[in-house]
Amino acid sequence: MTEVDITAIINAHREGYLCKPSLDSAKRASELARAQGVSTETIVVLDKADELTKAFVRSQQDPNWRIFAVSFGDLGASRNFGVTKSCGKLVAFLDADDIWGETWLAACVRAARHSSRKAIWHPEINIYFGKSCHVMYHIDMENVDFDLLDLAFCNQWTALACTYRDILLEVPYPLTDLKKGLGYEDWSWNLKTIEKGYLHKVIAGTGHAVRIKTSQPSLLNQTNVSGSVAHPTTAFRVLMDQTRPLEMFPLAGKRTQRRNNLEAAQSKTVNF
Amino acid sequence: MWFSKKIKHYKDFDAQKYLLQNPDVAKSGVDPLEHFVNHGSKEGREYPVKARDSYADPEYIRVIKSGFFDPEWYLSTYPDVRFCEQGPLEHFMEFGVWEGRDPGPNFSTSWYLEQYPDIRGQNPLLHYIDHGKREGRIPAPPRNGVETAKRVFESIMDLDPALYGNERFHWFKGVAFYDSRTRSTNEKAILRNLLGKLTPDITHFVMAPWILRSGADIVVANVIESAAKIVGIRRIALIIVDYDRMEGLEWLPEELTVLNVANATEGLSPEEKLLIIEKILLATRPDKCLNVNSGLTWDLFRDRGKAVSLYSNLYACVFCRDYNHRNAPMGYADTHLRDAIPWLTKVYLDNATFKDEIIAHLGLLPDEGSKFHVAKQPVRINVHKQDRKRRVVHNLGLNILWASRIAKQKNYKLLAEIINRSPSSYSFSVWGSGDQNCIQEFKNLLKPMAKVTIHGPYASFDTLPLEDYDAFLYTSLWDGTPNALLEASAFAFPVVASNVGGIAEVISPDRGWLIDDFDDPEPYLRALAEIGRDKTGARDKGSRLAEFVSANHSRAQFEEAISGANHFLD
Repeated sequence: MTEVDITAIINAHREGYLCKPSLDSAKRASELARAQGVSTETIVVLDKADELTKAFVRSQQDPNWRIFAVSFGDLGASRNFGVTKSCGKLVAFLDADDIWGETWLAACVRAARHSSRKAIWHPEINIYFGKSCHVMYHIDMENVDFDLLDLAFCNQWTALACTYRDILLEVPYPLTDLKKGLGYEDWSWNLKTIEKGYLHKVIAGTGHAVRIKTSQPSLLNQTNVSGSVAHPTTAFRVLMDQTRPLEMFPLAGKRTQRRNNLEAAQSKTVNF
Repeated sequence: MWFSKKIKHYKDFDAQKYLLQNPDVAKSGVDPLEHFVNHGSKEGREYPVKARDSYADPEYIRVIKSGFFDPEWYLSTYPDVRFCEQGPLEHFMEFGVWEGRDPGPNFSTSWYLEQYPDIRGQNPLLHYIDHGKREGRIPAPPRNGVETAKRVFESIMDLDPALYGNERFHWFKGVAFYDSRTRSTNEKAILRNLLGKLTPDITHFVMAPWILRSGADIVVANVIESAAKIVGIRRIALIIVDYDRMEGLEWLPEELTVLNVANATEGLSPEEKLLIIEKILLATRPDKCLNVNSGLTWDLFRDRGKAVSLYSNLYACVFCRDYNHRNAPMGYADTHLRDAIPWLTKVYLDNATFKDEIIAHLGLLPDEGSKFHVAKQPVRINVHKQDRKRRVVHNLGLNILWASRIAKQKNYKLLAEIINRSPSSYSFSVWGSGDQNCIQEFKNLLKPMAKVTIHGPYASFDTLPLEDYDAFLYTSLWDGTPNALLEASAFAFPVVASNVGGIAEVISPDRGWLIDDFDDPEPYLRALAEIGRDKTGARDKGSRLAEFVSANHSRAQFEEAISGANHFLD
């Protein structure tokens, strides 16, 4: 298959008619990107999807889409599967009940083209709607207020991220195993990518809408109830022994040094 | 009368200022307030407000400390304030905030009120300082952020009725704005401070409630000494979890990393302390984490063991059951072990008797039962001092040593009874610390003429004048393998001890006197009489006991017991 600039991967499960706004937002974002000269493709991964969701997604199918039905029962595995089928230099994820801002795909490609470093991009804001009604800001790792230690307490970025396909192949999403107490595939993946030295960046002026369901327990709720944790990481070990020279602590909360060190740590460059 | 009633409404009346503003009143010698009430107000004279002592008001202090109030910015932004009686801060707190004025460039009063309607009626700045910051609320519109939210909403609102049907999104009023950073800011600061005291080399945590000089502290010292030898001192950290007490630190190597979490988390709730301990493990991920009697760590293993065991292999020590004042079992083996056992890699005990007892009591299946390992504690007595010879031969009587904690567990009531019933040729030396109530009760139980000296605490067993004593008496009601007993054994004392816990694994009829009927003073007295009658035979038993302890409680054996695949010293 010919390489495209960006692949949109939509992960569907049992969203039913809630897929429609999500699929429409993906179509809209793809159209806007193509209008700006960006080549796109869309992959829909139906993971243990119910009949309504399958039928609905197929009814909405666009010639530019590829649809795969899988039986992982795991969001991380579904995302990883989508990545293996993708032809995009970049990959952007959308959960099939959430909504992308229309500029998202174009903005991601633009950000990648203008950056010499391989990064993971997040929208500036998330509009939470449905059961909730609030706005949450993502923080950029190069913002002076970013503190690695916040990630020890809570996740800092949603899963609706965009990054290079080869980063996703190098650092696939961890699987959820609530019986073992392993959950929060997005939080875990964020930590693992930091562990590998990748930056999480925010694209100013972009945003998504994230649905908080009024019924049905979400995976997040199930994970919270199960008392699970993010996958173990060594990302925080840099915070130990602050008596050592600062340059050994690229993320340790020493703001100016941290910024310099972060840049130094990003040795992986890219030509888009 | 009416005036005195009325006067309370004029608390902030500045009489001095009134006289300065109105020289005619000053000249007249009339009471300034009375003049204002009766005449001045009707004549349109200005009410002189007493300057408020703003800096003494806790709310004002919080605002000043927050850094959000900028007096120069306030005066230049709102020049009308210059013509008011109040200073800028006072003006803001009394009037400005309710007029929607901002305290400085970094806090937007009107925006905060609009975005967070739940705070209605409260001073927005004080709300942010006291609550909002911790809750992740944002003090002013983020640069471009509101515009971004509006623009994104405009571009997608038509896609979903839950968007276009929500009035609040159309105006972005009453839509709370948050950032994603943690709200546990205090815990985060404590965690950062604690992490900074550790090094990435550390792979083994030993969790202890404190470090004193009791039996469990000796276990901590033994583990650390062996770990230092096998994995290296730089890879070990002692975590003081429950109480900020470290009197026994001298037992430990100077190079040891000691993390005093108890001190750093003082004032936090148990839940907050647990969160800190869990995050320390999450962030540092030691390969191994061994709990020696830390209550909070037991809570963590029991309640969060499933998660924590994903970061580290978890280990725990249990020694014996403990009992409350109603004789109900209350030790960690009863209260925590059953729920924590799935997440533990190994459980170490210092005697086999308790191992069998607790496995049977909890009904553990073979898989879980196989996690239990006996690691007999090594004797820490200084080997050179073991060679000390007794200075005195007591032909007529007995000098009897009792060294332990004066506590219910050690049965000081029985000890008093033994002392009271003993012949006058016996003298007793009681060493050890204890609860003051127990010590007082022990003293009260003794007969006035009892030949006993209560010496108080001791630094270590081998600092006692061991040469002066003929026998060692141990009266515990429940126990594992007590260290004092092992040390007395290593010194070749004739030992008389209660048959509880793991004591029978050390003392037997051919190497001491084991008292089955352990709450009755008579068998103890009979055993002591036998020692008095046959000192040679008693010495022989003592020698056999010393040889047994030397052969079965060596450091090498202890290290072997806690080393190997899946053990703490892997």
